[in-house]
Amino acid sequence: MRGTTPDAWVIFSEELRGHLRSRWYLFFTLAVVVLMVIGMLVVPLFQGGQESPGGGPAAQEGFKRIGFVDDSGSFPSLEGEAGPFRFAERSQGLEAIARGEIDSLYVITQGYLQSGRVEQYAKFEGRFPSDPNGEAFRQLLVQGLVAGRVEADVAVRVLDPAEFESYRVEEGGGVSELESTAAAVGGLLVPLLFAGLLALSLTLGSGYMVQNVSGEKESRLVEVIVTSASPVSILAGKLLALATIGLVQAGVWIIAAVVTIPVSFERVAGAGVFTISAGLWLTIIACFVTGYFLTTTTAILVGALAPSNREASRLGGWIPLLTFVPFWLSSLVLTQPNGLAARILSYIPFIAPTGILVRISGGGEMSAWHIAAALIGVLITSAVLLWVAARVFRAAILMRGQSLTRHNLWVALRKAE
Amino acid sequence: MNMNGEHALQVEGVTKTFGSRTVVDRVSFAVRPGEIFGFLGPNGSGKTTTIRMALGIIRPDSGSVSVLGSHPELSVLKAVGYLPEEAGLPARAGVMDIIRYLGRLKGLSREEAESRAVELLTRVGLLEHRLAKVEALSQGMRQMIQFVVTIAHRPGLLILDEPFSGLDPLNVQLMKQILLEHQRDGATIMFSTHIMADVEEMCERIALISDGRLLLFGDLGDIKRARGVKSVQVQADGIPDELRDDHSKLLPDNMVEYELTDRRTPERIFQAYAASGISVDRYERMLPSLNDIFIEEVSRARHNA
Repeated sequence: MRGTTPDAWVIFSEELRGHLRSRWYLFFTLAVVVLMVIGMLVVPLFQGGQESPGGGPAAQEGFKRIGFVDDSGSFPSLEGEAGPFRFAERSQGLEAIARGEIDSLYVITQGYLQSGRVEQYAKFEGRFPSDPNGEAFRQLLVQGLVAGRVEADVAVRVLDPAEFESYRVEEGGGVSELESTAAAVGGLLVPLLFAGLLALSLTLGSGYMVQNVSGEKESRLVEVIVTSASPVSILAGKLLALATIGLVQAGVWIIAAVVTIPVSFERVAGAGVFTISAGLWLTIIACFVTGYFLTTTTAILVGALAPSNREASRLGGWIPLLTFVPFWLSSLVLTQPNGLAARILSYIPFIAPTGILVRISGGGEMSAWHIAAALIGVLITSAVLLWVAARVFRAAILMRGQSLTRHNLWVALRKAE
Repeated sequence: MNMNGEHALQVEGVTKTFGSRTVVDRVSFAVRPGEIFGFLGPNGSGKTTTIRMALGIIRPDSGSVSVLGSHPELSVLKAVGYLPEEAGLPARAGVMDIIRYLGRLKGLSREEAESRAVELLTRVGLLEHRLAKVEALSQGMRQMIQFVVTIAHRPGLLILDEPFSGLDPLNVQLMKQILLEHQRDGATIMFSTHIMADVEEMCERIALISDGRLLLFGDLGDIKRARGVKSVQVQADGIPDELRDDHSKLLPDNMVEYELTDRRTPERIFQAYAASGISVDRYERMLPSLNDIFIEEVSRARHNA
């Protein structure tokens, strides 16, 4: 026998080993990485359909599917070799749609210049039909209206009258350039993504821990454990194991995000460059670690106090719910990230780890000191709960099969060592 | 009662009250090093609470406990193997994992725990299940795994709460055999059970409690002898006419058991056979069985209460 390894370390290493081999943990951790990689590959595909009709090859390709009938006589040269195609009669155009030669037919009615009326024919599908060629044909009409009436450079500006460059007016009246689209979208998505991942991780983690402790209690295995290790060692071992699990998970996701997210933005033309600051990564890691500490401690306490596995699941269900509060109030937190509600949510210990990230996602201003203060609050709450858990653990685990009443809780606290 | 500091386990005047109910009331007994000790009592008599106090899981309201000569602290309890009543193992845990985990907590290194697990699983015929989840095993297999967990660290003192429940006769026999081997290696064993035959087979000394009070404690033979001969068993080809009455019971193999009364003494029974000329193959004065003593003592205690 060696007798020198601290019990907390034994519990930590064995619990960690069990966690790391858990199929659900591996699946969840790797599934997020896979989704990030898929996102990196798929995001650029969405941009193609959003280009302006006058510009890219894809838009030119789209004219092949457009037909028109000019009853107004105002557009003598609208057609092109690659489309749009002119039809003398509406019926001819409809037959072309039926044969699948074109997708949309536009009939420019008599008196168009006065009324602006254009009949639109297509195989509209779904409850809310839309015509993918509508914007392209509108641009064609503008081109047709100004052609020959204004100079060429004016015609270009009529089609695209403004390329906005935006500047932010600061408090003191100075101006600064707005961040790129990539920076804006990334700044919103990355903290929000990790807040969501944290909430899901804490849900799984707390559920695991509640079941772990109540299962050991219900099976009476805990009676063997408490004759082998002190409550403090047991709690510390379990706590550190799950916090490490959270840290490893966050680490894997952060590495995946560092690799995939900037590349995703680079692949979107004109989106600009997005880099994630070290400060944001540190904040995300700190939120994960403190969130795991508090949630795990609470889960251990609930698992120890609950009289049965089933009761433990019921009682433990509220723990992860709190981490989702910032999402339920996201319309408030994201639109007013420095408002009173957002501020309060980022300082309530059970909500802060996700609340801070959602607030940052909305562009909220939280200095490093504010973040540190909020997360220290989380740690202090964890420490207090850990102290209570260590005191009541031995008494609470023996309340097997008894309902968790206020009286029983009081008895457990009174018998605390 | 001999209660000096040389006992493997010494419980002295322990009392435990839950609310208004006294579950254990001034119970004292001691287990000698190297013996197999039976701790008996009906359901709800306070056995498990006493065992929990002996192991320091709960503190007695009064009285004291000494384990292997010391206060039951973790450093001492590392040398104790404890099998709780109705013990289970986490359903999702792997067999090897749980043996290694609890073995390490009791002081084994990872390698020692794994090698001991293989050794013991081989011994109980469950080696092929070493990588299985607990939930995949039968109730009896789980009980044997729990037993393996209890003895993996070669404890000097084994405390087993109803160890044979849920086991088939073959596994009961195997567990008894392993326990006897541990005793030969110097371990002290205390177990509780409802099956008196197990106690008579394995234990030299016993303690019996009922409703939290100690009713009997001491050498099993002495306890039986103190109650005296209660019956006589005779194996013979016939039964003397004068002995045919309600106080005799026919047993297999031409055996008859005669309950003793004031007028029917062992000597008179013997004389009756001699007088009738019936050839006697076997004649034995019977001490009361532990089962009889258990029922008598518990019934009397409850009647007096």
